[in-house]
Amino acid sequence: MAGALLTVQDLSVGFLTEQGLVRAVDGVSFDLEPGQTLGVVGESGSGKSVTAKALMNLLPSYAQVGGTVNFDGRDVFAMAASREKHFWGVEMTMVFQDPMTSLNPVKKIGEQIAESLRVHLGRSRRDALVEAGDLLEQVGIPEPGKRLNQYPHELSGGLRQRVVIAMALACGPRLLIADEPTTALDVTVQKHILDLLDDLRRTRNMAMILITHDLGVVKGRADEVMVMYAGHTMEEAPTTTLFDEMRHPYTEALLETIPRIDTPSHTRLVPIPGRPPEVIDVLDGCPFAPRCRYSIARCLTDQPDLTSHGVGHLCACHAPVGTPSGTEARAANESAGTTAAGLDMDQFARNVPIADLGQSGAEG
Amino acid sequence: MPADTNEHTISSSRTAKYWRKRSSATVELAARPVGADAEPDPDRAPQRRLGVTFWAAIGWVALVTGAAVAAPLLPIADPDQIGIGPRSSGPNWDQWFGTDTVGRDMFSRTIWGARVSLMVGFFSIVAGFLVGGMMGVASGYRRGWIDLALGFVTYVMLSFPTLVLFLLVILLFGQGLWIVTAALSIVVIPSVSRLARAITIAFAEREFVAAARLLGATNRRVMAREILPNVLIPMSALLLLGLGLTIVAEGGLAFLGLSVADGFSWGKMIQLGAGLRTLQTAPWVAFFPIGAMFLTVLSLNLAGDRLRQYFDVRELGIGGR
Amino acid sequence: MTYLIRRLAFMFAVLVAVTFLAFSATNVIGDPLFNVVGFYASVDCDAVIAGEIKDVIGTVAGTGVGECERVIEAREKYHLDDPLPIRYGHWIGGMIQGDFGESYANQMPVSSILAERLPKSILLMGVSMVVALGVSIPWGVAAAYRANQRFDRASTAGAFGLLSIPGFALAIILFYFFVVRWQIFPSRYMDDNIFSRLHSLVLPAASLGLPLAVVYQRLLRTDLITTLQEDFVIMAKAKGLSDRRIMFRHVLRPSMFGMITVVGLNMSALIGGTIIIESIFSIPGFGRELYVSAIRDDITVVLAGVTVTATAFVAINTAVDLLYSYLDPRVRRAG
Repeated sequence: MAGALLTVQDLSVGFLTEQGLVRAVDGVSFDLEPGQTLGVVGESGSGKSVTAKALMNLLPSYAQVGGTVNFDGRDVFAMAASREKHFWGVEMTMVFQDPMTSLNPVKKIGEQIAESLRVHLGRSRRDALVEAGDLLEQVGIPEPGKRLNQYPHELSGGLRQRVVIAMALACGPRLLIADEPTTALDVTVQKHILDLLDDLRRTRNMAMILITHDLGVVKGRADEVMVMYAGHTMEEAPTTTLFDEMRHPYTEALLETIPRIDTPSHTRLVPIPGRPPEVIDVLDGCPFAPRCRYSIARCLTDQPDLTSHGVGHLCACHAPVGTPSGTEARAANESAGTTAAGLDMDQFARNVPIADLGQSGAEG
Repeated sequence: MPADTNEHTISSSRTAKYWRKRSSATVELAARPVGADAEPDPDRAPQRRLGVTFWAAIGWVALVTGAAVAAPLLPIADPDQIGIGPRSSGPNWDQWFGTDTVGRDMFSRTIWGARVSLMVGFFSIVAGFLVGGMMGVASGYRRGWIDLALGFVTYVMLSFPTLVLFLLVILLFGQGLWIVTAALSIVVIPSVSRLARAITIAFAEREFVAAARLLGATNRRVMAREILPNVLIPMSALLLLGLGLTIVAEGGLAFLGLSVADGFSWGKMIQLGAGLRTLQTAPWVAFFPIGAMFLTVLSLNLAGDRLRQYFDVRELGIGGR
Repeated sequence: MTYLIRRLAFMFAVLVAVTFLAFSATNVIGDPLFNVVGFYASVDCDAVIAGEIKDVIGTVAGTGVGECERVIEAREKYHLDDPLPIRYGHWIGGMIQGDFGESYANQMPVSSILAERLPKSILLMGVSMVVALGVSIPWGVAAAYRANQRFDRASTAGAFGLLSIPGFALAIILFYFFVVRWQIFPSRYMDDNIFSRLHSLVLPAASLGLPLAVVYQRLLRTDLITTLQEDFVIMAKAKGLSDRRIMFRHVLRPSMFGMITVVGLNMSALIGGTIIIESIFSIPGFGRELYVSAIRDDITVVLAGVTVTATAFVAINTAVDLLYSYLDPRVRRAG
């Protein structure tokens, strides 16, 4: 791991509320090499955005943060404590979900991009605006000179997201965190933005953390994928491994929610029944157990640890998909009609035969 | 984030790791964490209990009101009797609040002064709420030209500088109790009307109003039966705040010698104590009525603000004075 | 563009309504003649001149004719025999040409009274506004920056206290301590030079400005807290900008709507406030003049006052409308 740009160890974020401590992120660890892309996938509330905000020093003061984050040999939390001025926005930057709201409505676009350059790199107003124009060109905005003097409301959503990306790239960051960068955009625009991010990452040799709820987004774009649920890492693997040999039932369930071109058009997308838990204090068992088709008695009492399932492949599950124990557990639940957690198996769509799933796992 | 009925067993099997409080150096900006809602702004969040402050404030207002109403029955000195004590003597055992420059008892005067202050303040705010409320509901419910016309009237009223309006009314009609009350209520009407209009528009869109209309209720009936109560209840929270404003406004008028000609209010007493010489020799003559007015208005503001939060109404846009 | 025209038309209509109301009220209910000729206003002067009435107010026949001729003269001069709308037309026409009429009390042209008195009041209001905004903006920003923490809570309590002191009472409290007790400020208005003027205006401006500052601070604080929840604030923070820069460069401007709306609407309170404050601090400004004129029924001066203040109010609120589009470019489209 000597070459890692970012090392996150045992990151925990808690929020003290009237109901108790909400553990939004609980013991998350990962490494990121320079120029690589990590996909972080999970439903809303899985803790992926909180993780990003913790890295970006964007959490409110009452958040309780634990663990260590190391960026190229620098202790990120120590920099936060000493109010480091030129790290965030320079070395590490972030792109947010909704370009409609993440631009200041009352400032011109040029001004907003130039601001970082002036604050962090000490550019003059004029130089900064020229550079801002270059940046707009790099992110593929037509007529950059004209755009500089426009206000955000005069641009479409896709263009605005490009502006946000230009802002994030202004100071030449080595790590870009993209938090659901396409969720708020039209489907037609989504791919363009993702491709743009990918190109920029490659040309600038920039590392990227791509946060999404959609496994389809990370496919072919991320080098590694981490699947999060209820603040925990469920599974982590190189992207191809994850898609070919997924081990975690949650990953499997997420994959089923992706619309695919090769599925018949009338096939219903399968939602995962239930909702993620609100993690008030510590859970005894696996957080996903109440919604899991594979859950066995042990899932309710023992929280599974991350165990290795191959090179760089970690999974936290007592009955992993595609392993004998997993297949057995699912078959047992299937015949009993309910899972160990009492979930009615009928709630799952029947259009995904067990045989197929078992097979794809068995191949690997 | 208020947990709904999640019943996760609370155990300490996995003991706390490194939960350290984030260093206070990192500041709170943009308090919108994903995992938990930002601390609620007490200005916005409806409050479930009224609290000690509210009841203390109401207690003071009740005490002052009671004393003012019962003033003729109370065993206190005649407020107008000159020379009841030595001239310009400070607070002492016989005259708790001291005496003024002609030896009248300030304690008694402070209680009697509350009568005019409270009466004018109360009647004018009630009148202002009735008229302004009806205007607001009418223009918010009927919209169209009624709304336009009433909006114009409201704006014309707002364009008259407050005190100039008073001057004009008093110049023309004199300084009777009801004239002064009416003049003060005119000042309240525009703000009340605007607020009632906004609340009405919000309510008029609701299902129950639509339902009442569908069932064939006439406009007037819908206004009277369905909307008015729903507007008046939240607005009543603002009555206390408005009362504070009218008491202060009456004080300002009286201070200029423009309020009710008979009797005296706190404002009049402050005026009598505000001369340079009196302030030099007997500052308490001005300061006791100022204190009484301050405590009363403060109580009304505190209680009113609490009620406003309780009913979750927007602030009355009267603002300054 | 159409918006601007509609806005100006509305403004014009409001002004006509205000002045017409004020004019007709003073002319119908009050008797303008009385101010000029006193008692003779109620005498049948035509009859006196014609000699039909011999004995007016117990004097011998033939007397009072001179006074009655003055009454007739005044009637013509002030167009008192014309119907109300025509008289209003004459009056407003004169106003537009800068002829504000003459004071009934001392026959001075009202325009010269305005010229002498108005600048002092404008200076007072200007300084008060500077106090109000100068206090409320930093205060509101500081309170919203750490909302619901110690400073904010303390300032909320303080705001309630200040909000509950009437302006004139605050003026007397300040006057007592700073003029009577400590003698830091003069008890009269010193009109020697700009420094002595400003020195004399410190307490009056504080009395007028501080109560307004409290109101503005509350509004600004609420709007700032709302804006702080916006995504672009997180974005700005992610850009690594300092909190100070975020508060003043990014958050403040879009949070000023509520405040400046009330600044505009509060103008009438401010104008009213000058009347009281100028009396307490003996400032020979227009507010005091207006008050004195109202007391002695000097209708032309009062009418001029109503016109000037209402025009100022409408103009300032129109300016506030235009300021919106500066504060938020999204409004410009609608314009």
